[in-house]
Amino acid sequence: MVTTETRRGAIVIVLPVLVVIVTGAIVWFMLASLPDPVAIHFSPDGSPDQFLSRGLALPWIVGCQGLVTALLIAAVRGTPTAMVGTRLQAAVPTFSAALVGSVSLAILSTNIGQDDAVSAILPPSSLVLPVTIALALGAVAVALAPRIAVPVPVARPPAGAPRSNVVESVAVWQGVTPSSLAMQVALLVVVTTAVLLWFLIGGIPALLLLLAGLPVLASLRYSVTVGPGGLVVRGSLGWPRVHVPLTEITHAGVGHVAPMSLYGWGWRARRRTISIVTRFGAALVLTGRDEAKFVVTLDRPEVPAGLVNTLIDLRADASRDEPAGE
Amino acid sequence: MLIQLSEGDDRALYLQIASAVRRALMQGDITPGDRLPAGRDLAQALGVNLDTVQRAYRQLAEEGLVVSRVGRGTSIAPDVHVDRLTLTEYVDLLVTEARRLGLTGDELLRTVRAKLT
Repeated sequence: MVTTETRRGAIVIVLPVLVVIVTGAIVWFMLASLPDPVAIHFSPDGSPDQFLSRGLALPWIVGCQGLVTALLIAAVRGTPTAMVGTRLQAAVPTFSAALVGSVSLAILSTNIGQDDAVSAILPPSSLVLPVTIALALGAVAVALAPRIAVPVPVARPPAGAPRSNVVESVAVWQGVTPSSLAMQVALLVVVTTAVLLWFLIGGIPALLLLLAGLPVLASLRYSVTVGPGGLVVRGSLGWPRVHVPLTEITHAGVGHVAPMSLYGWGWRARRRTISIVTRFGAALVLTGRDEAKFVVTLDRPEVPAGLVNTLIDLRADASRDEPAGE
Repeated sequence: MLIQLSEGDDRALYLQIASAVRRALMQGDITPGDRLPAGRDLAQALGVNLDTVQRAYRQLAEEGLVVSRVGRGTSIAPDVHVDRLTLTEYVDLLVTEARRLGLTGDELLRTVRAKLT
């Protein structure tokens, strides 16, 4: 079975090695049409200033490319998974091998057909294509590399935070926000006005008004689910949908909200706080790792808050029991 | 409503879910007329098959505790007798404990009859 680690290993090692082999093969086919010696370095004005025997071109290019690639593969593999878990980092050896190889080929190609390498000229624009090729191959490696979750140290919520008596990590709390009286009144106004418009002006303005009122209908009440995956809040029509992963939460608590202090009812965003407010009163308050807050009005919010904190406790215990990353 | 699945619980997962709904009703976490979470949402949150949740809801429907309507999901029956639920839960626990102890159905019935007389 191909695991995530196996796939990442293939991207880190196999892909850059293939790039080195292909570069070597291209140089091999180019050798017959190269002068001896070949120009391998150019001054800023594009004229050659360093030369190398044609017979050494292949080992020199493949050797330099192979050395750089090997060093980067070793660096990537020798670094803890937590630091190289990202797909971008896994693609570094491929990008580097492709960059060294394609630039070398671009330089070598200026010698093709020349009787004397002194006549070779390297315009700066000729490096655009090699860099583009390297970026493209790097992008392919990024796309192929598997996504690896970078483990984040899990800390227990503060001792004073509410707790649940659940002992299993498979526990889910499901509830709904209290109905919003303000939204009910707003919906009634929208529907009444739409009916009046229907008779006074016509059907299209009434339908447009009803469409505009859909967000009000969606905000009448929200379903709230707390579980091992975190918190999910969904409006009456399935949207707006907010998902706060458990890994992003440091602790949960209970608060008191006033809609006007959060700019009204429904889904609100203010500074670093996202709120779903359906009435004055008690609310579940989640605090994120970056001190951002998520607030949702609920009756008896201490129950879901307790479950969130307990699930974080269980995660913290589990992460301590696990062996350290490679 | 808090639903907890326990590896140490001998009961099938759908029975544990049904039991959690009964307990929530007894404790007043949910009341007659309240809608239960959509089967797909609950299955996803608990990490179980959708069929497991649907089976739990069917079990509750057979007991007359919930009603399912097409397009409106599943909700607690408006005429449910919450008081009797406690008895159902105790019977559920009694049967589970009897099975754990290896008692046959007849032996359990004999024990109950002896208590009734």
